[in-house]
Amino acid sequence: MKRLACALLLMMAAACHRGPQAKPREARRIVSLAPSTTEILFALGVGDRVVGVDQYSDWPPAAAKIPRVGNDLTPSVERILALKPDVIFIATSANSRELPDELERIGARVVISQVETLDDVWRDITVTGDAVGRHDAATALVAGLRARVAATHARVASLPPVKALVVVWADPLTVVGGHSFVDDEIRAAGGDNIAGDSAQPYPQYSVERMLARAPEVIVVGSHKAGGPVLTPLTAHASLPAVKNGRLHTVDGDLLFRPGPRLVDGIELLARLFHP
Amino acid sequence: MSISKAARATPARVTAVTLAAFGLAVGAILASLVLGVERVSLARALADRGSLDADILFSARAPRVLLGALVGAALSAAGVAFQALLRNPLADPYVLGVSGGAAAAGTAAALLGGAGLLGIWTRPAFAFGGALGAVALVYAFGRVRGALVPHVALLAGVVVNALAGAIILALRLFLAPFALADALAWLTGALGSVDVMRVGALAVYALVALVVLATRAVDMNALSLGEEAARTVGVDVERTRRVIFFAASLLTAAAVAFAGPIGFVGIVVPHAVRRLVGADHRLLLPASICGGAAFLVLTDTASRLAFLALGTEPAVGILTALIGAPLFLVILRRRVGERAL
Repeated sequence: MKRLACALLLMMAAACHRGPQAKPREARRIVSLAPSTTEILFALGVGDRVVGVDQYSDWPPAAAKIPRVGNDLTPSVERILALKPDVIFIATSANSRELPDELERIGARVVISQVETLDDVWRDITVTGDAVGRHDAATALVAGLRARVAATHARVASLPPVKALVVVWADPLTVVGGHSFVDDEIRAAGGDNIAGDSAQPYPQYSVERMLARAPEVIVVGSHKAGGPVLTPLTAHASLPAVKNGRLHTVDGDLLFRPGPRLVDGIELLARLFHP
Repeated sequence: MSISKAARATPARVTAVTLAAFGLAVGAILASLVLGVERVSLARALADRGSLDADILFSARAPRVLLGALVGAALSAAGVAFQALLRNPLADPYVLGVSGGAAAAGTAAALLGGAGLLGIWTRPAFAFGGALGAVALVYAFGRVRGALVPHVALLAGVVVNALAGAIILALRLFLAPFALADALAWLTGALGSVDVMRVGALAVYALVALVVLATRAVDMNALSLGEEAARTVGVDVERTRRVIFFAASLLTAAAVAFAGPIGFVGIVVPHAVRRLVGADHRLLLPASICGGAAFLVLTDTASRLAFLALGTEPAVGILTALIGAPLFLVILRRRVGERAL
């Protein structure tokens, strides 16, 4: 009974806290378990409050000096506990379902971001800003990023869309399909994703279908561990992208990481699609 | 394992069965060349080598079909060999740890990235090395007083596979998410994008090992009767076991190196062939080689065509496991019924 009363009191307190005029609590100690969230936090100017990150958070360079709490799927809960965070960020794309429950049990506020489309990315930046008391900075960041996307799109909108394919890795051929923020990036950059009709966000694609749809530009995202293998693509002489030297390798983090640098990725794609 | 039909393995019957099986394999290959996600015109492909039809047929479909045939033949032949060696129709290239070693080393190659030291050959080279390492381990621990003992080798293989599984899970911790997904795609066993060079390299290599095995067909018959019986008919048991063990292991290693660990081919095909032609290895081996080629080529065609329905291409290793695992259990149940295990 006492416990129930406590819980009720806490809920009321939380409700009050979320009141329209109540200023969100300033987060002092932040743990980020997703590279994209780490980038967002730095872009919001709270990078110095990030006390722990997952092992893949490698940007900006300052993030590399922050203590690691392990891998994003199974971080060290003990180490997170020792860092005494008041907010922990998790991306559902990267983390398991049990993890948020476990982290909430240790008494931290857990913010889960779930990103599928480009609009989700903007929303995620706002939510992240709100969670660390940087509402205005987040609004300004989103407005700036959206303006850059709009400017890029305005340049290419009148041009005929270029038949494009963005490759996640070449063997077995895995590409960007429909229903993903990368598909939105391709469209914003003036590209027509030849695999955009796939229901899967990242399908293992039929090589024959790729040849038949003849993409004019192929962009391969590299993943740091050495350059990507391109031979499965260059072997096909009939591919217009290969024939015309329009097979490009770019930093995969600019395309596949749903953070602020994704706009760099869109601008890069636009330059490759419409030089 | 009975070889009561051995008397019927006359040269004429061996020729007839081999030719029939070869015809089946060729038929499967031709059918797979016709079937695909995109329609192609053979006439146009032949008339204009720069055409889209030619590119789809000769640079995408044909190399993949041929790789599937080679890998299927290799895995199936290795299955027959291991089954004769261990006197157990449930033995498989995978049971002896060969694929586990290849898989662990192939995953380690992902740490270096796709274009590591040896470019596209990085992963095959690593996988091949890993398979050889596993073979060496199994051979070292599978012997009693210098002689390869089947059930000891089998247990050593199980342990090597378990160790390989642990190594793969450990490596997973150090891989970036994308490299991890790449490694996982390979671990399911996919023929994927194929270049002609790889097919050629595997063809030359597999042919040598297949010929070595084929010349041992009579010895395999003797071995399946048991060690004593084999000695009685004058077979150098230890030497024969060694040759068969290494030839079959090297075949598996090469197949896994190029196509990833595709499971159950080495059980499904020899089992089906044994029911059709009997257990005489003079019939079983050539028929299984051709049958294995036909089986994997057709299964991979199903995996290619599944793209039309799923919008994504399932790895052929998933299909062979879905077909093979239930069959394995059926054979197991039957053998337990016969108390033959």
